[in-house]
Amino acid sequence: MLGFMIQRLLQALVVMLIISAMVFVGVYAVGNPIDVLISPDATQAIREAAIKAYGLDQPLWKQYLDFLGRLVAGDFGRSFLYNMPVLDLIGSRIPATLELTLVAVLGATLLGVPLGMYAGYRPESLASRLIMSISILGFSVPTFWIGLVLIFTFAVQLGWLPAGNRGETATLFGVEWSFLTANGWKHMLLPALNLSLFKFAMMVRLARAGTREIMLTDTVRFARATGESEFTILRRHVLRLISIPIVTVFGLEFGSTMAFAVVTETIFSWPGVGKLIIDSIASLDRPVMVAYLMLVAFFFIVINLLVDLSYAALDPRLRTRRAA
Amino acid sequence: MTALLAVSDLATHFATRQGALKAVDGVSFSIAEGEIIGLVGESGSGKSVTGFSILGLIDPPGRIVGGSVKLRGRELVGLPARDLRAIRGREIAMVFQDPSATLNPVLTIGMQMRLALEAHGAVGEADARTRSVEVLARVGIPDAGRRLDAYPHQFSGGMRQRVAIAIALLNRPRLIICDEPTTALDVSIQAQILTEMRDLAREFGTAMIWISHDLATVSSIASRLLVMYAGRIIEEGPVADVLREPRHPYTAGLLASLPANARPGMDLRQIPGSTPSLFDLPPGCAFQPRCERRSDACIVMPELVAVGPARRHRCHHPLAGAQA
Amino acid sequence: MNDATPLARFWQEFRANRVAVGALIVVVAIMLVALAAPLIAPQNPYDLGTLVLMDARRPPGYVGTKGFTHWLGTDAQGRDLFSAILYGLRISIQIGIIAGGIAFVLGATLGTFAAYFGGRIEALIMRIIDLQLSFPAILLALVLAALLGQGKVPLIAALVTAQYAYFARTAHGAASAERSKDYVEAALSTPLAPARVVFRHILPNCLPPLIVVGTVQIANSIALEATLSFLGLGLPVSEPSLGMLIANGFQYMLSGRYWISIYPGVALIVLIVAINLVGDQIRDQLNPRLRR
Repeated sequence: MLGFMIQRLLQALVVMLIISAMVFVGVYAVGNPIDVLISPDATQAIREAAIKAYGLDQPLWKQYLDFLGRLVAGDFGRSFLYNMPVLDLIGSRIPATLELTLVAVLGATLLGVPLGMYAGYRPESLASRLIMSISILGFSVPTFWIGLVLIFTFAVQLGWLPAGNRGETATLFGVEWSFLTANGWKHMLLPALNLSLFKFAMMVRLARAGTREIMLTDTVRFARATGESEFTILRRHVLRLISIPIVTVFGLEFGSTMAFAVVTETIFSWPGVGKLIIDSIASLDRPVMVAYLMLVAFFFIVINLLVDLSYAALDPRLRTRRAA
Repeated sequence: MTALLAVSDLATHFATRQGALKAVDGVSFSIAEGEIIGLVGESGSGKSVTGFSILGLIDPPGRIVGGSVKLRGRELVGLPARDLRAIRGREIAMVFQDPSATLNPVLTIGMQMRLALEAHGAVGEADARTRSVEVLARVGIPDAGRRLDAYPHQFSGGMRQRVAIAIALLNRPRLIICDEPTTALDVSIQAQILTEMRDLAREFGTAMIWISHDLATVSSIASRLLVMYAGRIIEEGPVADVLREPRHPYTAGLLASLPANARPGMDLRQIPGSTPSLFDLPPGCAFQPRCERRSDACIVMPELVAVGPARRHRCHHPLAGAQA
Repeated sequence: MNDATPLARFWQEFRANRVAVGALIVVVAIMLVALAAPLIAPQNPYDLGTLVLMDARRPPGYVGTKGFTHWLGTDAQGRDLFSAILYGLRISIQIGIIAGGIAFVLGATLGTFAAYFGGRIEALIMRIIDLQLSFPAILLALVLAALLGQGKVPLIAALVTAQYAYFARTAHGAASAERSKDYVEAALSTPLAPARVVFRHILPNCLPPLIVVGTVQIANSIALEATLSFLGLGLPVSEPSLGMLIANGFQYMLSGRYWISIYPGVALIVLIVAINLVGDQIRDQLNPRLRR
């Protein structure tokens, strides 16, 4: 187990290095790197001083090493737009994205898995067809358009829910959270719904496909032959068996949902990192872009690692194989 | 004395695109308390479907279309799902062919046994453990107490089948349907399990239907033999009698093809031709295209006629001894 | 029935699903309408000269100064929305097909060759592809679109980068399975050029799963293009695609002028849903595991 973890950690490190190189080439080397480092309206003298100070007259490989050194030291530079250290800026935006994503993915899973299991258990029933139709819509309709329709329906026409912003927040562990206040929930409902629809569709499909397949196996027949109720079979046997792919997707999708939050946050003016990156792209705030990309990459690698480890926890066959 | 189980005119068909597949078509037999009968036939003869039909474990597109299955006089065909469930595992249990497919790979065997117990009334965790350990020890699992927390893949094939048998025995059923339980195992283990099962059945007074394609295996455990061909019973009688004096040409062919009956240096005898497709059965006796004794009379389906108190056969031209 | 060609049999089975047939008709109809947009549309929405500012943001059914009825209303520049949607569909479909096609060719080639060569090369290629697949496509496209700037070529490049990996993995899976089959070994032992074996034997057998991925990915690239345009990272404003039309209408939606965003959205969704329904049916038909 330990050897496996060390191996995975080393792998993660290599991946991080590759990504940092790609980001470096993409953002620093392709564009004019000086734009990244100092504001475009600086004087010529400051520019030249900065070129020297940042070693931009050095060969590319050395520049990359310096870049890496700054990353490791946690120095991502300052945002032009907000004039504050990038790390602080992103740090202040992460909680908003985190809670939105978490609510969306959790909601999608808690609702999608049971419904998908039902659809797989009774594929011909009317309710299952309805569930599948919703899932096809969730898959096909672009997130941003659903967001618009939600705003138009619930905010503009009915006036039940607010169309944007986080609403009131309360402090926990020194961080502002919306989910702690009723008003915050009210603000979070529409964006979370918007963000969760695609994941919901995905969970439904996954649970349905898994259930359909497992219901035909001898494991289920045997369980039935011992007199177990259909509910017990679904809850104890089928759910456990389909949970392996579902946990994987849950993990991986948590990451991609954070990425998709870019769209939802833009529509609902939700002040998270997604909105930040769109704003920084629009205003060429490159330090923020770099930091965001590295952060997302890091995040993804951590998630992949966790998913791999939870595999081992869920599938006893894998556990012994690796321990051996 | 009423029979423990009486099956009469049982018919189970599968709806397919090419029409109804008559997997079981008018099967009748009965079994007394504590009796072990063997159900023999090639794959596709309907022997397994007969077993599943008794427990009502036929998945769509299959359906029991006629006949009756009576357990101590109580009709099982058409029984509501709830009542049928109370009988499964409690009155009639089942052991399947491949234990690695029937046991749930992601649940400990202790949990699987507990689920089987809970299916027939709530049991405490401690009670469940004690009962499980008892039965596991009884089927020959060494160190049963510790093995309760192991997963199926941590057992060898033979041990796994013993676990499945233990689960079937848990609720002390009156009848166990064994669907080729030794086919997937090594020959040496086959013999062991066969003997143990016979002893267990004798000890608990459990009746058994032993389904197999292997005449030799069945003969060593059962006291009475039923031979199936193309969805019907074609011969029935005490094992010793059927082996010594088969009446139906098909049974005779099966016997002749047993390796034990071969002469050294000679080819094994084979039944000419192959099992007919159930979609395309010949008129009358299904065996007639392969039969040496065929005559024009065989285009009419022969009745299952009783000869003497214990023998029945379905043939217009039975072999020697039938005149009695 | 079994004497029919595989294609005819495929069609026969396809026809049995009425929903899928309906969806196919919708897809073909939209494509024809988009193709014939210059002939059908009452106005060329890209010709700024024909736009009348007085007609801007008019509701559906408004009769404009040019004398024709704006059945779906007009946008903020006074464009006839019906015309804009037709032209927008044209761009969306065009970009979806071009990006999907390039990704298809690129991914299929990479995947099959990885499977063909095996060993280190295969491990390296597939590792990179797995890595990329674990990264959300939208983010990749977003960054690329931001780095490369606006325009059709950067947009297509971004979409291809975000999608080729799906084709590569699918092709690799199918090709590996095919590679290990006896007939391929046999073909390789003859003095045929390896490329010939790949193209004549391996690739044709990988086509079914690739076609399935292909339909889904065309729908996806249309959606992705719309999303990027909506975020302001797609095509220039002068040639609005559906996504941009929707984005432009967003601000007016809050004041109740829903039509500018809603109608282009409906067109987009009908197209994507129809493509997905067709793709679903094809997948079910090509998936041997679901066959009875």
